[in-house]
Amino acid sequence: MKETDNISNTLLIVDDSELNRVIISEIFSDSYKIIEASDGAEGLKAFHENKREICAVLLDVIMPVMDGIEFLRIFKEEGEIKNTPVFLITASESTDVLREAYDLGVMDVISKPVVPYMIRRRVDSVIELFQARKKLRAKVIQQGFELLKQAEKIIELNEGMIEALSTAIEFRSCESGEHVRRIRDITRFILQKTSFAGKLSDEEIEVISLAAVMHDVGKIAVSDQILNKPGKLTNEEYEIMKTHTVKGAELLSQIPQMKAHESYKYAYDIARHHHERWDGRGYPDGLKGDEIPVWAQIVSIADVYDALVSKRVYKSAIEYDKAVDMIKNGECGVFNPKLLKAFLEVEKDCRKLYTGS
Amino acid sequence: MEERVKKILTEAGIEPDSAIERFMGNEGLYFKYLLRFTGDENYRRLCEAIDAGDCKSAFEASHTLKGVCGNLSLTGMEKIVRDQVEYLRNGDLEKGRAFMKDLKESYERVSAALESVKEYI
Repeated sequence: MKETDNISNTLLIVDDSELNRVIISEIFSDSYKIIEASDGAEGLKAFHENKREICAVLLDVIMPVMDGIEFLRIFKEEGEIKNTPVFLITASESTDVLREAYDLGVMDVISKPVVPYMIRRRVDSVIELFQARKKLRAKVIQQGFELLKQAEKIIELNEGMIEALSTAIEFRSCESGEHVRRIRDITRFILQKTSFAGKLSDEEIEVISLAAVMHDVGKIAVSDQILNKPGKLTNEEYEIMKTHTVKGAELLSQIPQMKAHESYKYAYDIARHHHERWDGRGYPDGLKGDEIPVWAQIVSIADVYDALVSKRVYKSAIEYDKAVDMIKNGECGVFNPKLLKAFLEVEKDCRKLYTGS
Repeated sequence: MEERVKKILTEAGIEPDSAIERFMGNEGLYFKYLLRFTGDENYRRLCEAIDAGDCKSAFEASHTLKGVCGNLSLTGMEKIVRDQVEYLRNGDLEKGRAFMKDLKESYERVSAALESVKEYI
């Protein structure tokens, strides 16, 4: 929204006396354009025809056809009085009339015969106030937009950092940033498209998906030799490998900003428990059944699927349908039957992540 | 404005300096409207309404006349009309009528003054 200079610089003078109009016109003509009307009805008509340019109305009370109070009543009803200041220019009026005028929203009552420097100041300062208010309103709205955009950028940056960190860590075991992204996407599919995790808001789904990205950060604590060993691991090596769960959770808990982040509790659970098994024979804690947090279960199956269908240092890629069968047959771990069902619902969608289609 | 003109106007109960200030120093504009005063309807209307016993019309004419006198700084007349208008506002025609003698005098003084200066302004 571009801030344009205010173009409304016209005064509307409504008074049946030509002399009055002339005098007021003369007082303001160096700074304002002037439009005149000789009664309330003419005044309303002139206002509507020139609405965009008019920044104030100077109004007499006693006029034929339609007097000032009637003009004010209609002006207020139409909602105009809020945006355009009205000044009553009057000889002595009864307090009732003045009271009603103020109730209807008149900004000021100025006595006749007018004194130029007084009427100038009173009118100028109110007009300035109204224009400043308009500009401020526009500025606030514009800044609101800008703040929103900035907030979005910050969120994007945070997510970018988390992804970068996880990618860097996975890089040691020759995983690409794509593996990290795929785990996030598969997790998101299961959360969005199935009822497995119950009813979640879009925001919660995004937060959990982001947490999934950090499931293997603990691998930073595992040596290269073990991480990248092409053959089978010894029992000792396997025990060390298993610690990436506990180490991962510990690492996350050591980062203050992480701990304060909304994804933390999910990230911690996922890092620690994504190798648990439904039958309780997983690690590190041997959690069983529903003891395993739902989000950890999801990442678990996503991780298994991804490992099967991608080429790894210790195996080649397995065909999709075969991978699905292996999972169904319990060859790659034991899963919650409900989770399995949900996964199968979205599995075809997951394939698209690998072919890039 | 010549000193002579100012003297004549002031003696007739007019305050030209204050009026010219109101007209933003535009002497020419002030004199233009000042000279129009001799044709002013409101004084005539006021007289007619008072004669006809029409208090409402008298009030309206008096009120408007007051405004004109105020704008043109016809201070002498304005003082009289200012008091008159309140009685007429409250419906007291008789009290209003009582001001007419003084008002007539003041009006004629103003008219004479304007007549004598009109070629100089």
